[in-house]
This record gives sequence, C-alpha cells and structure tokens, in this order.
Amino acid sequence: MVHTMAIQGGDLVRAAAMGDEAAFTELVARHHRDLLRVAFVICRDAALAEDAAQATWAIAWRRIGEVKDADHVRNWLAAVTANEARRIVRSRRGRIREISVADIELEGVPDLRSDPLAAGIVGADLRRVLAALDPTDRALIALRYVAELSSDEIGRALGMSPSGARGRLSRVLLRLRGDLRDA
Amino acid sequence: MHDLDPFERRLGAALRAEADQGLRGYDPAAIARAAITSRQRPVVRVPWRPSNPTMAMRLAAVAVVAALVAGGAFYLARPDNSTTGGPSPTPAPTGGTPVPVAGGCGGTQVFAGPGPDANLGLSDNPWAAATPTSAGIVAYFWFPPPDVLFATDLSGDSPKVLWVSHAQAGELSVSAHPLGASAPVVRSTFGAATSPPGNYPSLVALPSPGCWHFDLSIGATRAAMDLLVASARPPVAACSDGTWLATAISCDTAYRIGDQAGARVDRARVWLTTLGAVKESMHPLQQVIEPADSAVVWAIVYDGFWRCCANAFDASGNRIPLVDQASWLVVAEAAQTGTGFVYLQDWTGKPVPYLLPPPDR
Repeated sequence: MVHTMAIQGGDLVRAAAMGDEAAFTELVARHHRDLLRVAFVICRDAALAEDAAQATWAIAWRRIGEVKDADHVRNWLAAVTANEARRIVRSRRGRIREISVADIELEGVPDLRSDPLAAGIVGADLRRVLAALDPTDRALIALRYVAELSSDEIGRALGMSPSGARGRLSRVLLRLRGDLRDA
Repeated sequence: MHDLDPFERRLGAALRAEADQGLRGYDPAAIARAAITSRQRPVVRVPWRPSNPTMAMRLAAVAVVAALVAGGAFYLARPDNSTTGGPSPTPAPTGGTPVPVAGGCGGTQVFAGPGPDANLGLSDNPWAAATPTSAGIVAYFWFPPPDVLFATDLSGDSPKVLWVSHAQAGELSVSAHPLGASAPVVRSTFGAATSPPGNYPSLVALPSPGCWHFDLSIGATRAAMDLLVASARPPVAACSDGTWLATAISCDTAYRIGDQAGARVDRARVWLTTLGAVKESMHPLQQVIEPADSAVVWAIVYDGFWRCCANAFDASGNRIPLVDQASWLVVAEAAQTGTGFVYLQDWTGKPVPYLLPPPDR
C-alpha cells in the first residue's frame, strides 16, 4: 500500500493499476466531484449522474493500467464519465418523464447569479437550454467547460475527429450565446 | 483552460454551480469499494484499424478480424503485461505433454498440447516448431488437426496461423511452395502485432492441397517447416436459408465472416443499426476510444454451432472458458473511416435484436 497523502496523481494511478485500493480510493476522493459535475450536465438528473460516475470508477478499477498519461488521469476519467452518462441517458430515454418548462420553474431553480463567476447567466435559462440539447452536445459542453478538455481530447473521447469536435462545439456554443442572454 | 472568452468562463462557472446545487454528498471509500467489487458480463472486443477506408477493403478487414476472432486470436485484445519491446526468451511448456498429431509432413511434426507459448493462452492450439529450432520460430494453428491448413484463395476464407518469434524482431517473410516442386511460390509478409512482442498473426492462403514447404525469415534469422494443406473446405450454407432485411452487407459476406474456425453457420441475420442501439441491447463494456454511439454498424447474429473460445479474454484480461454457442453476435463498423471494432458475444438464449432501430440517415 502507498501512503496517499501529498502523493502525485501519476503515482496514484500507477499504484492503483497494481491493485492498491488505498491509492484508488484517493483517486476517487480527488476526482469524484468533477466526474459528478460532468455527468450531471449530461444527464440532467442527480441520480443518473451518480450512476454514471459510479460506473466510471468500476471501469477505472479494471482499466486504469491502460491510461497512457497517468499525470492526466482526470481527463481520461472525464471522458469515460461522459460516455457512461450518454449511454445512461439513451438507455433511459424512453422512461424519463417529460417535464414542462413550467414544472421546472415550480420545482425551484438555482440562482446562479449568486455565484460571481457565473454572473449574467440565469439558472432557469441554463436548465432549459441544456435540456433541449442532444446528450452528445451536452457531453461536448461538459467536457469543454467543466472538465476543461481541449477539442482534440474531446474528439478522442467522443469518437469524433478534432475538427468535427471543434465544429460541433462551436455550433453549440453559438446557440448557447444566443439563448443565455444576460440577466 | 484553453483560451476561453468571458462568456465561456461564465458558462463554465454556471455549469459547475448548477451541478453542485443538484448533487448530494458522497463517501469516496464507499464508491471505491463498490467499484472494486463490481463485475460486468465479459464481452470480447477486438479493435482494428483498416489501412484503406474503401468499402471493399472494409469488408475484407471485417472478414479478417472475424477470422481472428473466430480463430481465437483474442490475445490481441488482452492486456500486455510485457515490459520490453522485443521478443521474450522461449518459455518452457507448462502443464501436460504435447502429443504428435497429423498436419505436418516432410521434416515437420505438428503437436497438440501445450507448446512453448502455453503461457500466452495458446495451450489449446496445435503447433509446430520451425527448423532449426534455434531460430526460435513456432507456428500456432487455429483449426484442429488433421486440417490445420486447407487450400483456399484470396477471395475465400483462409486459415489463421500465429507465428511466434522468440529470437528476432522485425517483419516476417514467408515463402511457400509445394515440397519437391519449385512452383507455384506464394510469398507473404507479416508485421508484428503491437503486443505481445514477437507475435505475427497471419492468414495463409495456399491454392492447392498437398505438402508445402515454408521458408521463413525475420531479419537475419532463417528457418523452415513443412505443413500439410488439406483440400478446400466445403462451401457454406446457401444464403437463401437466411432471413435478410435491408442492409448494406451482402449475404455472402455475412456468411464468410461467420464461417470461421470450425463454426457451423446455419443462419445469419444482419441488421444495419447504430452502435448506441446495440449497446442498449447488449449492455457491453464501455471504453473511451471507440466510435460514437451514432456510428453505423452491422449487427450480425449467427445461428449454428461454435465452440468458443479457446483463447478468449474478457476486458479485464480474464480467460473465458470454452462455451458451446448456438448463437453469437458480431458487431462491426459499417461505413466510418478510421478506427473500427468488433463486439463478439455469446447470444445463446437471447432475443435477436429485431427492433434495433435503423441508422438515422
């Protein structure tokens, strides 16, 4: 077992790949929040996001030895999460209850204006716009603006060419710019 | 962050804030424990990268990959535990004693039972060592004796041979001619597999039955062996026996993919669908680098008999025991260029995916 305090991410990955459960648990502690965020943007549901993140760790435990750049394992995990989230959304598509925009408003919408970094983006608008996007488009947004992957990395993660990922991301962003008007 | 403008930075912050407000707390130790103890059904996946993206070549690539799959060349998909780039020293046989079987001729004896590379998952494959044995080249066959090789041509099925070199790295050149005759000569070259090192998967297409002499060379290493080539295999079942829906793949091609390595194909059914639809149907393992869910694929369900898979490994590297299958599924990318893949799964007892949606075109 390795001592996980203050250990570098790459060393944790290599230890986890050798079966070190403590190192694997430390990876979970470091990255699970980010994976939940990526999954939530795509799934639009907290329970499904938790499923996607959990599935990611199940895959990671078996395949983390295949990560080529151990120092950037977060990107690999985010990519796996995005694909798991897309799979879950598609598999549940027929069973998800449709909720009208009016219902969403009644359920209560986070007031993002309280976050100074998000100033100008209204939570209700964000939820409405994200809900209208294709899961793959949401995966593009999540990987770019939550996980902060490059277009090339996003393309590899989602099975697109780099130029294809850039083009599709650009189109989605253009739509978001129009729909997310400043409050 | 990659050159984001103010709107993009605000968007990122808004997405994270919204997610944080919708998510609950968690226990990392519990999540890790659940991941470590989780298990999924094994699915064999064989990636391939066709060098030429034309449809004809892709058809050929599918056939070759299916041959590798059906022949049990799953070691190609198995995690590589080696630490060096060159061939490993010849290991000693493990477990059991090899016994002579038919398949060789001239100066070569074919054996059944664990050979020098049994530890690579090849203990069930008939094998023969090239002479001189100091050359360190061993051939492993995927068809049972006595017909480890059979006559064929480039348009039909070809038997698979895995050449393993223990002494020399580099391209493998094979020159074959009937023993005692100078013609015809069939020449082929095979590159080493990415892993394990020193492995050369090949399909051997020889035009006529009889005893054939093989001259092998890898770099400065020279060796030879003599192998018996059986008569051509009988044709597969008539396509009219199958049930066919609208698809881009021909009946003949579907049969050719499935009719490998001792599999008896009674019927093949094929659907043009999407990878996402297949995933939802079969719940396969997921990996990062693969075509998008929208990728158009052939989903082919074969009915018949196939004792699979002597050298199959699941995605975790665990060996899959031999299973008698009455129905199995192969999924192959249909039209996209670049990376392709094959799913292979025992489909016995499962409903055929009649309702897989067609691609959205």
